[in-house]
Amino acid sequence: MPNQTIRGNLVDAINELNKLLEICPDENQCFEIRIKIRELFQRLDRVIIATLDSSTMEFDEAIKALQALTKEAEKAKTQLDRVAEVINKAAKAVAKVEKLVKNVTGVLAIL
Amino acid sequence: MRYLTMLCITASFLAGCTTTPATQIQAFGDSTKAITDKVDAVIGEYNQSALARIHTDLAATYNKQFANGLTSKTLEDVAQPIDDKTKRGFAMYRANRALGEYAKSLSALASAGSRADIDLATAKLYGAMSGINTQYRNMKSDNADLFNLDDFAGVAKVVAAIGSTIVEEKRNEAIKRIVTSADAKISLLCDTINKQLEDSGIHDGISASRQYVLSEEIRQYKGQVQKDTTLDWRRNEIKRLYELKKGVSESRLLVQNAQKAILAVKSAHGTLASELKKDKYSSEAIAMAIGRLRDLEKHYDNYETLLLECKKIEKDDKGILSCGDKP
Repeated sequence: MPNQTIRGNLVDAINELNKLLEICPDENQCFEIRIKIRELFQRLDRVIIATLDSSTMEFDEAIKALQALTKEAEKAKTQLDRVAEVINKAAKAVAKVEKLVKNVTGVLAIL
Repeated sequence: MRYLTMLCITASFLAGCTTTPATQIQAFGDSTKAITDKVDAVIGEYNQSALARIHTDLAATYNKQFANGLTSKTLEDVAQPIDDKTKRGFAMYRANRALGEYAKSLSALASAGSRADIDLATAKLYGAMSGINTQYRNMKSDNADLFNLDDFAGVAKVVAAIGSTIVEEKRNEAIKRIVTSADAKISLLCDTINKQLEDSGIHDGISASRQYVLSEEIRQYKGQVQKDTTLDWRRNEIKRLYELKKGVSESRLLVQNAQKAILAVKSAHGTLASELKKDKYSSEAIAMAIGRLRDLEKHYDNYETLLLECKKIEKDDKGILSCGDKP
Protein backbone atom coordinates (compact mmCIF):
# COMPACT_ATOMS: atom_id res chain seq x y z
CA MET A 1 0.00 0.00 0.00
CA PRO A 2 1.99 3.03 -1.23
CA ASN A 3 0.05 5.50 0.87
CA GLN A 4 1.17 3.73 4.00
CA THR A 5 4.80 4.27 3.11
CA ILE A 6 4.46 8.00 2.48
CA ARG A 7 1.99 8.31 5.34
CA GLY A 8 4.18 6.28 7.70
CA ASN A 9 7.27 8.30 6.80
CA LEU A 10 5.39 11.57 7.25
CA VAL A 11 4.18 10.45 10.68
CA ASP A 12 7.70 9.32 11.64
CA ALA A 13 9.17 12.67 10.59
CA ILE A 14 6.46 14.66 12.41
CA ASN A 15 6.95 12.61 15.56
CA GLU A 16 10.72 13.18 15.55
CA LEU A 17 10.14 16.92 15.08
CA ASN A 18 7.65 16.81 17.98
CA LYS A 19 10.31 15.25 20.21
CA LEU A 20 12.79 17.91 19.13
CA LEU A 21 10.23 20.61 19.88
CA GLU A 22 9.83 19.27 23.43
CA ILE A 23 13.52 19.89 24.17
CA CYS A 24 14.39 22.78 21.84
CA PRO A 25 15.93 25.61 23.95
CA ASP A 26 15.83 28.37 21.33
CA GLU A 27 12.48 30.10 20.68
CA ASN A 28 13.48 31.12 17.14
CA GLN A 29 14.32 27.55 16.26
CA CYS A 30 11.14 26.33 17.94
CA PHE A 31 9.18 28.72 15.74
CA GLU A 32 10.84 27.28 12.64
CA ILE A 33 10.21 23.71 13.80
CA ARG A 34 6.52 24.48 14.39
CA ILE A 35 6.15 25.92 10.91
CA LYS A 36 7.71 22.79 9.41
CA ILE A 37 5.52 20.50 11.54
CA ARG A 38 2.50 22.46 10.31
CA GLU A 39 3.58 22.11 6.67
CA LEU A 40 4.16 18.38 7.08
CA PHE A 41 0.74 17.97 8.72
CA GLN A 42 -0.90 19.81 5.82
CA ARG A 43 0.60 17.20 3.48
CA LEU A 44 -0.37 14.36 5.82
CA ASP A 45 -4.00 15.52 5.78
CA ARG A 46 -3.92 15.22 2.00
CA VAL A 47 -2.09 11.89 1.92
CA ILE A 48 -4.75 10.37 4.21
CA ILE A 49 -7.34 10.95 1.46
CA ALA A 50 -5.11 10.54 -1.59
CA THR A 51 -4.23 7.88 -4.11
CA LEU A 52 -0.51 7.93 -4.81
CA ASP A 53 1.40 6.38 -7.65
CA SER A 54 4.30 4.53 -6.04
CA SER A 55 6.05 3.83 -9.34
CA THR A 56 7.19 7.41 -9.94
CA MET A 57 10.56 9.00 -9.30
CA GLU A 58 8.78 11.70 -7.25
CA PHE A 59 7.48 9.02 -4.92
CA ASP A 60 10.98 7.64 -4.26
CA GLU A 61 12.40 11.11 -3.80
CA ALA A 62 9.70 12.04 -1.30
CA ILE A 63 10.35 8.88 0.72
CA LYS A 64 14.12 9.52 0.72
CA ALA A 65 13.66 13.16 1.74
CA LEU A 66 11.33 12.19 4.61
CA GLN A 67 13.71 9.50 5.82
CA ALA A 68 16.64 11.92 5.69
CA LEU A 69 14.62 14.41 7.75
CA THR A 70 13.68 11.80 10.35
CA LYS A 71 17.31 10.70 10.69
CA GLU A 72 18.56 14.28 11.06
CA ALA A 73 15.87 15.09 13.65
CA GLU A 74 16.88 12.01 15.65
CA LYS A 75 20.50 13.18 15.70
CA ALA A 76 19.54 16.75 16.58
CA LYS A 77 17.92 15.61 19.81
CA THR A 78 21.40 15.05 21.25
CA GLN A 79 23.24 17.60 19.08
CA LEU A 80 21.10 20.73 19.16
CA ASP A 81 23.47 22.60 16.83
CA ARG A 82 22.01 20.43 14.05
CA VAL A 83 18.51 21.97 14.34
CA ALA A 84 19.21 24.36 11.43
CA GLU A 85 20.01 21.39 9.22
CA VAL A 86 16.77 19.72 10.36
CA ILE A 87 14.84 22.80 9.19
CA ASN A 88 16.59 22.64 5.80
CA LYS A 89 15.82 18.96 5.40
CA ALA A 90 12.21 19.55 6.44
CA ALA A 91 11.82 22.24 3.76
CA LYS A 92 13.18 19.81 1.15
CA ALA A 93 10.89 17.01 2.32
CA VAL A 94 7.82 19.26 2.25
CA ALA A 95 8.64 20.30 -1.33
CA LYS A 96 9.10 16.68 -2.43
CA VAL A 97 5.85 15.51 -0.84
CA GLU A 98 4.02 18.51 -2.27
CA LYS A 99 5.11 17.48 -5.77
CA LEU A 100 3.61 14.09 -5.09
CA VAL A 101 0.27 15.07 -3.59
CA LYS A 102 -0.50 17.83 -6.07
CA ASN A 103 -3.60 16.96 -8.13
CA VAL A 104 -4.18 13.55 -6.58
CA THR A 105 -7.52 11.78 -6.43
CA GLY A 106 -9.19 10.61 -3.23
CA VAL A 107 -8.33 7.10 -2.09
CA LEU A 108 -11.44 6.73 0.03
CA ALA A 109 -13.67 7.53 -2.90
CA ILE A 110 -12.83 4.24 -4.57
CA LEU A 111 -12.27 0.73 -3.36
CA MET B 1 -64.95 4.02 29.13
CA ARG B 2 -65.97 2.24 25.94
CA TYR B 3 -63.32 4.27 24.11
CA LEU B 4 -60.72 3.15 26.67
CA THR B 5 -61.75 -0.50 26.29
CA MET B 6 -61.49 -0.22 22.51
CA LEU B 7 -58.07 1.37 22.88
CA CYS B 8 -56.90 -1.48 25.13
CA ILE B 9 -58.17 -4.10 22.69
CA THR B 10 -56.45 -2.33 19.80
CA ALA B 11 -53.24 -1.99 21.80
CA SER B 12 -53.34 -5.67 22.74
CA PHE B 13 -53.87 -6.60 19.11
CA LEU B 14 -50.96 -4.46 17.99
CA ALA B 15 -48.77 -5.77 20.80
CA GLY B 16 -49.67 -9.25 19.70
CA CYS B 17 -48.50 -8.39 16.20
CA THR B 18 -45.09 -7.46 17.52
CA THR B 19 -43.93 -11.00 17.98
CA THR B 20 -40.59 -12.13 19.35
CA PRO B 21 -39.05 -12.54 15.88
CA ALA B 22 -40.02 -8.98 14.97
CA THR B 23 -38.53 -7.78 18.26
CA GLN B 24 -35.25 -9.53 17.45
CA ILE B 25 -35.15 -8.03 13.94
CA GLN B 26 -35.89 -4.64 15.44
CA ALA B 27 -33.10 -5.10 17.99
CA PHE B 28 -30.70 -6.03 15.19
CA GLY B 29 -31.73 -2.94 13.20
CA ASP B 30 -31.41 -0.63 16.19
CA SER B 31 -27.98 -1.90 17.26
CA THR B 32 -26.68 -1.84 13.69
CA LYS B 33 -27.89 1.73 13.21
CA ALA B 34 -26.22 2.77 16.48
CA ILE B 35 -22.97 1.13 15.38
CA THR B 36 -23.02 2.85 11.96
CA ASP B 37 -23.46 6.18 13.75
CA LYS B 38 -20.37 5.43 15.81
CA VAL B 39 -18.36 4.38 12.75
CA ASP B 40 -19.32 7.66 11.12
CA ALA B 41 -17.92 9.40 14.19
CA VAL B 42 -14.41 8.10 13.35
CA ILE B 43 -14.12 10.68 10.55
CA GLY B 44 -15.46 13.23 13.02
CA GLU B 45 -12.71 12.29 15.47
CA TYR B 46 -10.07 12.73 12.76
CA ASN B 47 -11.38 16.24 12.10
CA GLN B 48 -11.65 17.03 15.79
CA SER B 49 -8.10 15.96 16.58
CA ALA B 50 -6.82 17.87 13.53
CA LEU B 51 -8.62 21.04 14.64
CA ALA B 52 -7.25 20.66 18.18
CA ARG B 53 -3.79 20.35 16.65
CA ILE B 54 -4.25 23.42 14.41
CA HIS B 55 -5.56 25.54 17.30
CA THR B 56 -2.65 24.41 19.49
CA ASP B 57 -0.20 25.15 16.70
CA LEU B 58 -1.47 28.71 16.25
CA ALA B 59 -1.53 29.35 20.00
CA ALA B 60 2.02 28.02 20.40
CA THR B 61 3.53 29.56 17.27
CA TYR B 62 2.21 33.12 17.57
CA ASN B 63 3.51 33.78 21.03
CA LYS B 64 5.87 36.41 22.49
CA GLN B 65 8.03 37.97 19.73
CA PHE B 66 6.05 36.05 17.08
CA ALA B 67 2.60 37.19 18.22
CA ASN B 68 2.35 39.71 15.37
CA GLY B 69 2.36 36.87 12.88
CA LEU B 70 -1.24 36.05 13.76
CA THR B 71 -3.69 37.77 11.43
CA SER B 72 -7.30 37.34 10.32
CA LYS B 73 -5.92 35.64 7.21
CA THR B 74 -4.22 32.99 9.39
CA LEU B 75 -7.57 32.16 10.99
CA GLU B 76 -9.32 32.10 7.62
CA ASP B 77 -7.10 29.17 6.64
CA VAL B 78 -8.22 27.10 9.63
CA ALA B 79 -10.44 24.31 8.37
CA GLN B 80 -11.19 20.71 9.20
CA PRO B 81 -9.25 18.50 6.76
CA ILE B 82 -12.23 16.37 5.77
CA ASP B 83 -15.10 18.70 5.01
CA ASP B 84 -18.69 17.53 4.43
CA LYS B 85 -18.32 17.56 0.65
CA THR B 86 -15.15 15.44 0.78
CA LYS B 87 -16.76 13.13 3.33
CA ARG B 88 -19.77 12.51 1.12
CA GLY B 89 -17.37 11.37 -1.61
CA PHE B 90 -15.88 8.60 0.53
CA ALA B 91 -17.03 5.08 -0.33
CA MET B 92 -16.62 4.24 3.36
CA TYR B 93 -18.98 7.04 4.37
CA ARG B 94 -21.53 6.21 1.69
CA ALA B 95 -21.41 2.49 2.44
CA ASN B 96 -21.84 3.18 6.14
CA ARG B 97 -24.77 5.51 5.50
CA ALA B 98 -26.44 2.94 3.24
CA LEU B 99 -25.98 0.28 5.92
CA GLY B 100 -27.40 2.58 8.59
CA GLU B 101 -30.45 3.42 6.48
CA TYR B 102 -31.08 -0.26 5.77
CA ALA B 103 -30.84 -1.12 9.48
CA LYS B 104 -33.13 1.74 10.46
CA SER B 105 -35.74 0.81 7.85
CA LEU B 106 -35.59 -2.89 8.72
CA SER B 107 -36.14 -2.02 12.36
CA ALA B 108 -39.05 0.25 11.44
CA LEU B 109 -40.65 -2.48 9.35
CA ALA B 110 -40.20 -5.05 12.10
CA SER B 111 -41.82 -2.78 14.67
CA ALA B 112 -44.50 -1.18 12.49
CA GLY B 113 -47.81 -1.59 14.27
CA SER B 114 -50.26 -0.12 11.79
CA ARG B 115 -50.86 -0.31 8.09
CA ALA B 116 -49.69 3.30 7.70
CA ASP B 117 -46.44 2.55 9.59
CA ILE B 118 -45.86 -0.51 7.46
CA ASP B 119 -46.42 1.47 4.26
CA LEU B 120 -43.96 4.12 5.43
CA ALA B 121 -41.38 1.57 6.57
CA THR B 122 -41.80 -0.24 3.25
CA ALA B 123 -41.12 2.88 1.25
CA LYS B 124 -38.05 3.67 3.37
CA LEU B 125 -36.74 0.12 3.14
CA TYR B 126 -37.12 0.17 -0.62
CA GLY B 127 -35.15 3.41 -0.69
CA ALA B 128 -32.48 1.92 1.57
CA MET B 129 -32.23 -1.19 -0.61
CA SER B 130 -31.81 1.02 -3.67
CA GLY B 131 -29.08 2.92 -1.81
CA ILE B 132 -27.28 -0.31 -1.00
CA ASN B 133 -27.67 -1.35 -4.58
CA THR B 134 -26.00 1.85 -5.80
CA GLN B 135 -23.14 1.53 -3.32
CA TYR B 136 -22.76 -2.14 -4.19
CA ARG B 137 -22.32 -1.28 -7.85
CA ASN B 138 -19.98 1.63 -7.09
CA MET B 139 -17.74 -0.58 -5.03
CA LYS B 140 -17.19 -3.29 -7.58
CA SER B 141 -15.43 -2.74 -10.87
CA ASP B 142 -16.69 -6.15 -12.01
CA ASN B 143 -20.24 -5.40 -10.89
CA ALA B 144 -21.77 -7.38 -13.73
CA ASP B 145 -20.77 -10.62 -12.00
CA LEU B 146 -21.51 -9.60 -8.48
CA PHE B 147 -24.66 -7.59 -8.76
CA ASN B 148 -27.67 -9.79 -9.36
CA LEU B 149 -30.48 -7.72 -10.83
CA ASP B 150 -32.98 -10.59 -10.72
CA ASP B 151 -32.23 -11.11 -7.07
CA PHE B 152 -32.81 -7.47 -6.31
CA ALA B 153 -36.00 -7.40 -8.39
CA GLY B 154 -37.28 -10.30 -6.31
CA VAL B 155 -36.67 -8.37 -3.13
CA ALA B 156 -38.35 -5.30 -4.58
CA LYS B 157 -41.43 -7.39 -5.39
CA VAL B 158 -41.61 -8.68 -1.84
CA VAL B 159 -41.31 -5.18 -0.46
CA ALA B 160 -44.04 -3.93 -2.80
CA ALA B 161 -46.27 -6.85 -1.81
CA ILE B 162 -46.14 -5.87 1.84
CA GLY B 163 -47.46 -2.46 0.96
CA SER B 164 -50.30 -3.58 -1.28
CA THR B 165 -51.56 -6.83 0.16
CA ILE B 166 -50.68 -6.47 3.75
CA VAL B 167 -51.26 -9.59 5.73
CA GLU B 168 -49.77 -9.29 9.15
CA GLU B 169 -48.43 -12.83 9.34
CA LYS B 170 -46.64 -12.41 6.01
CA ARG B 171 -44.41 -9.69 7.36
CA ASN B 172 -41.88 -12.13 8.78
CA GLU B 173 -41.75 -13.97 5.49
CA ALA B 174 -41.03 -10.69 3.74
CA ILE B 175 -38.32 -9.83 6.25
CA LYS B 176 -36.82 -13.26 5.61
CA ARG B 177 -36.69 -12.60 1.87
CA ILE B 178 -35.21 -9.15 2.35
CA VAL B 179 -32.55 -10.19 4.87
CA THR B 180 -31.48 -13.30 2.95
CA SER B 181 -31.33 -11.45 -0.38
CA ALA B 182 -29.47 -8.50 1.07
CA ASP B 183 -26.90 -10.58 2.94
CA ALA B 184 -24.21 -10.64 0.22
CA LYS B 185 -24.54 -6.90 -0.26
CA ILE B 186 -24.46 -6.16 3.46
CA SER B 187 -21.38 -8.35 3.73
CA LEU B 188 -19.65 -6.36 0.97
CA LEU B 189 -20.60 -3.02 2.52
CA CYS B 190 -19.14 -4.14 5.84
CA ASP B 191 -15.95 -5.43 4.20
CA THR B 192 -15.54 -2.12 2.36
CA ILE B 193 -15.97 -0.05 5.49
CA ASN B 194 -13.54 -2.31 7.36
CA LYS B 195 -10.90 -2.18 4.61
CA GLN B 196 -11.08 1.57 4.22
CA LEU B 197 -10.85 2.10 7.96
CA GLU B 198 -7.67 0.00 7.85
CA ASP B 199 -6.12 1.46 4.68
CA SER B 200 -6.95 5.15 4.98
CA GLY B 201 -4.57 5.67 7.87
CA ILE B 202 -7.08 7.73 9.82
CA HIS B 203 -5.54 6.32 13.00
CA ASP B 204 -2.09 7.61 11.98
CA GLY B 205 -3.55 11.07 11.47
CA ILE B 206 -5.34 11.02 14.81
CA SER B 207 -2.30 9.79 16.75
CA ALA B 208 0.08 12.29 15.09
CA SER B 209 -2.27 15.20 15.83
CA ARG B 210 -2.76 14.12 19.43
CA GLN B 211 1.01 13.65 19.86
CA TYR B 212 1.68 17.17 18.60
CA VAL B 213 -0.76 18.62 21.15
CA LEU B 214 0.93 16.55 23.88
CA SER B 215 4.41 17.76 22.86
CA GLU B 216 3.30 21.40 23.05
CA GLU B 217 1.69 20.78 26.44
CA ILE B 218 4.90 19.17 27.73
CA ARG B 219 6.89 22.15 26.51
CA GLN B 220 4.43 24.50 28.21
CA TYR B 221 4.67 22.50 31.43
CA LYS B 222 8.47 22.71 31.40
CA GLY B 223 8.24 26.48 31.06
CA GLN B 224 5.76 26.79 33.91
CA VAL B 225 7.66 24.69 36.42
CA GLN B 226 10.58 27.13 36.17
CA LYS B 227 8.33 29.41 38.23
CA ASP B 228 7.29 28.62 41.79
CA THR B 229 4.60 25.91 41.63
CA THR B 230 3.16 23.57 44.24
CA LEU B 231 3.58 19.82 44.19
CA ASP B 232 -0.19 19.51 44.00
CA TRP B 233 -0.37 21.70 40.90
CA ARG B 234 2.44 19.75 39.25
CA ARG B 235 0.78 16.43 40.11
CA ASN B 236 -2.48 17.57 38.54
CA GLU B 237 -0.62 18.72 35.47
CA ILE B 238 1.18 15.38 35.21
CA LYS B 239 -2.20 13.62 35.46
CA ARG B 240 -3.50 15.81 32.65
CA LEU B 241 -0.44 15.08 30.49
CA TYR B 242 -0.81 11.37 31.24
CA GLU B 243 -4.42 11.46 30.00
CA LEU B 244 -3.25 13.14 26.80
CA LYS B 245 -0.58 10.46 26.37
CA LYS B 246 -3.24 7.80 26.91
CA GLY B 247 -5.27 9.40 24.13
CA VAL B 248 -2.28 9.10 21.80
CA SER B 249 -1.74 5.44 22.71
CA GLU B 250 -5.40 4.59 22.18
CA SER B 251 -5.88 6.31 18.83
CA ARG B 252 -5.51 3.08 16.86
CA LEU B 253 -7.93 1.29 19.20
CA LEU B 254 -10.55 3.88 18.35
CA VAL B 255 -10.41 2.79 14.70
CA GLN B 256 -10.03 -0.90 15.56
CA ASN B 257 -13.16 -0.71 17.70
CA ALA B 258 -15.07 0.64 14.72
CA GLN B 259 -13.67 -2.16 12.53
CA LYS B 260 -14.59 -4.78 15.10
CA ALA B 261 -18.13 -3.43 15.41
CA ILE B 262 -18.71 -3.34 11.67
CA LEU B 263 -17.43 -6.92 11.27
CA ALA B 264 -19.78 -7.94 14.07
CA VAL B 265 -22.67 -6.40 12.10
CA LYS B 266 -21.61 -8.47 9.09
CA SER B 267 -21.46 -11.60 11.18
CA ALA B 268 -24.80 -10.91 12.90
CA HIS B 269 -26.51 -10.26 9.58
CA GLY B 270 -25.03 -13.49 8.25
CA THR B 271 -26.36 -15.39 11.27
CA LEU B 272 -29.76 -13.76 10.87
CA ALA B 273 -29.90 -14.63 7.15
CA SER B 274 -28.76 -18.18 7.77
CA GLU B 275 -31.33 -18.78 10.52
CA LEU B 276 -34.14 -17.17 8.52
CA LYS B 277 -33.29 -19.43 5.58
CA LYS B 278 -34.08 -22.34 7.91
CA ASP B 279 -37.35 -20.56 8.85
CA LYS B 280 -36.00 -19.93 12.31
CA TYR B 281 -37.30 -16.52 13.25
CA SER B 282 -36.16 -16.79 16.80
CA SER B 283 -33.18 -18.82 17.92
CA GLU B 284 -30.32 -18.90 20.36
CA ALA B 285 -27.90 -18.08 17.53
CA ILE B 286 -29.86 -14.92 16.61
CA ALA B 287 -30.14 -13.93 20.25
CA MET B 288 -26.39 -14.40 20.71
CA ALA B 289 -25.51 -12.43 17.57
CA ILE B 290 -27.76 -9.56 18.64
CA GLY B 291 -26.44 -9.74 22.19
CA ARG B 292 -22.92 -9.40 20.82
CA LEU B 293 -23.91 -6.30 18.83
CA ARG B 294 -25.59 -4.74 21.83
CA ASP B 295 -22.54 -5.46 23.96
CA LEU B 296 -20.23 -3.84 21.40
CA GLU B 297 -22.53 -0.83 21.17
CA LYS B 298 -22.64 -0.48 24.95
CA HIS B 299 -18.88 -0.73 25.45
CA TYR B 300 -17.91 1.01 22.23
CA ASP B 301 -15.81 3.74 23.83
CA ASN B 302 -14.26 1.44 26.38
CA TYR B 303 -10.89 0.38 24.96
CA GLU B 304 -10.15 -1.75 28.00
CA THR B 305 -12.92 -4.11 26.89
CA LEU B 306 -11.30 -4.36 23.46
CA LEU B 307 -7.92 -5.08 25.01
CA LEU B 308 -9.38 -7.60 27.47
CA GLU B 309 -10.84 -9.56 24.57
CA CYS B 310 -7.61 -9.28 22.58
CA LYS B 311 -5.21 -12.23 22.62
CA LYS B 312 -2.31 -10.36 21.04
CA ILE B 313 -1.87 -6.80 22.31
CA GLU B 314 0.80 -4.90 20.39
CA LYS B 315 2.60 -1.64 21.05
CA ASP B 316 4.62 0.06 18.32
CA ASP B 317 7.76 2.20 18.72
CA LYS B 318 5.57 5.30 19.13
CA GLY B 319 3.71 3.70 22.03
CA ILE B 320 0.53 3.18 19.99
CA LEU B 321 -1.52 0.22 21.25
CA SER B 322 -3.32 -2.15 18.92
CA CYS B 323 -4.94 -5.55 18.94
CA GLY B 324 -2.97 -7.86 16.65
CA ASP B 325 -5.66 -10.55 16.45
CA LYS B 326 -6.86 -11.51 12.99
CA PRO B 327 -10.52 -10.51 12.52
